[in-house]
Amino acid sequence: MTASAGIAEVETIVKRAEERFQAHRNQILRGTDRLFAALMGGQWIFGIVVALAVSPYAWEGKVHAVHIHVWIAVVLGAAISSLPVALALLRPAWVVTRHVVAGAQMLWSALLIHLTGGRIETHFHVFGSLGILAAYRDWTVLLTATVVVATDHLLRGLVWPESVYGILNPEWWRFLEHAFWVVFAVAFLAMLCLRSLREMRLIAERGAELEALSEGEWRRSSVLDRAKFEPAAS
Amino acid sequence: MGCPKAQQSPERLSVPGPAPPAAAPAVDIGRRSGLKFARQFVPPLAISLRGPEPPPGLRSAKLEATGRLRSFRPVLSIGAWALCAVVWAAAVAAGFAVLWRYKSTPADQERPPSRWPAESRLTLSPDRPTLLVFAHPHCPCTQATISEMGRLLARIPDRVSTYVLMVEPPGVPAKWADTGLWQRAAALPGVTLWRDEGAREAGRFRAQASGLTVLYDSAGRRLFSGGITASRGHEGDSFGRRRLLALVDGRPADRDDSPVFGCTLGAHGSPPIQTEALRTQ
Repeated sequence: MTASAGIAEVETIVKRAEERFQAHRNQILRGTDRLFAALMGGQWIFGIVVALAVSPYAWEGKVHAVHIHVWIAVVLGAAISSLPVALALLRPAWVVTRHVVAGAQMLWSALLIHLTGGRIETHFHVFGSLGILAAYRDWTVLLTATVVVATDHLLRGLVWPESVYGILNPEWWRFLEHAFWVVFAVAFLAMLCLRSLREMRLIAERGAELEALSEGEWRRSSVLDRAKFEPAAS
Repeated sequence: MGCPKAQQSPERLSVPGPAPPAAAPAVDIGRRSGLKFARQFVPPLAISLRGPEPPPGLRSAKLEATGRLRSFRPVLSIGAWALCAVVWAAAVAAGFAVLWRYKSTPADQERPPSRWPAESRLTLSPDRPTLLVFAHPHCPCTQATISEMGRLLARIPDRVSTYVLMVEPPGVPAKWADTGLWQRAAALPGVTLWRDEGAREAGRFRAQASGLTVLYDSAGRRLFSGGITASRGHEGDSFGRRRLLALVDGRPADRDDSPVFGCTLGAHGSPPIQTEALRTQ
């Protein structure tokens, strides 16, 4: 065995480890895409149910008509879910897919907050969604989600500040106050994503090493077996 | 006897060398954390073993399954997906614009009388301000007003005399106003709940939109009128509530009105008389 053969062996192990890592990551991305495809559909149904339960009709005296929230839940909900579901089913594990999913998930938070009349409890959907998005183990996805939330606040803060802050002339730092808790959650989730990736890589390397060991053992035993039986045959 | 297939495949660890080396060579192939560990395996692997190709079953089925990235067959090109994304973003933006416009458009509501109407059957409190809230029993937007009332009354308990008027337009069936909103309003502490049959009180106070809140002082002067939600059916801080709180506290407010977000009461111009006090706490 020469030195170059040894180098080749190590390179093979490292290459195999990289393949195993990418395969594992691909598996996680695909699984998480499928999870979000189901979640998008579930949220759509949930949004319609909420609209029907909370605000089924708009009234003018004793006359009523279907409330705009119901139409919004059906049409806008379908629109929000459409692209991420299509991407998750047709282009799973694509980098664009998970970023679109992240943006759509934050839009669902905004829609559900509207449909439930701005209830404080529904705002928890934002943080729950960030936690689920961390399943991608890709911190840039969390960044996209944060940008969508911040853009929503920024636009509404400029055009219609009362809808975000409840007052017409909010202090300039109110935006930071709202963003702080999202950034707080995202910062730690991003750290966990990076740690998880490191662990995945370590697992892949150990798997490749074990694989190499087992192949070496198999070769050794097969040669010994052949050496044992070949003289008898001759 | 050879194993050409093994030598061609980069995944297989074919070991062609004749003898094990004394030590593993120093290899710099990246900053991977497993490199140090991998080096330890060079000597045992370097044993010269010429044998047949390992059977596929030697590697676990799971490793075989995950060992290669499954190639996907793109259904649409990148350009087509980009076009879809643009259409999607436009549709979603349009949807939210419709929603925001609806939620931020106040109802038509003229100012209530500047003096307490003499013909009203409601009692003006002689020692503290009187707060009136007009509600359509079925209006979903008014749920937010009742929630805000709860928060408001928690901050100013017993400092105002409060009426919540459930407005019944003329000609509705019995128990038409017995709704979840009625139950919620009834649960508010220190509130007098009125069934405004025929919308007579609503007519006297020119209430046109559900959620209208009017504050009169003990002398019967109107201090404030408007809504106490930030938008249609949306809970949260609002400048209507802030103004109302300031006036109850005796502090100056920048304005004495605010937009009202709620369903149309269908009450304006109703004839007077016959309201029934249902509950007093």
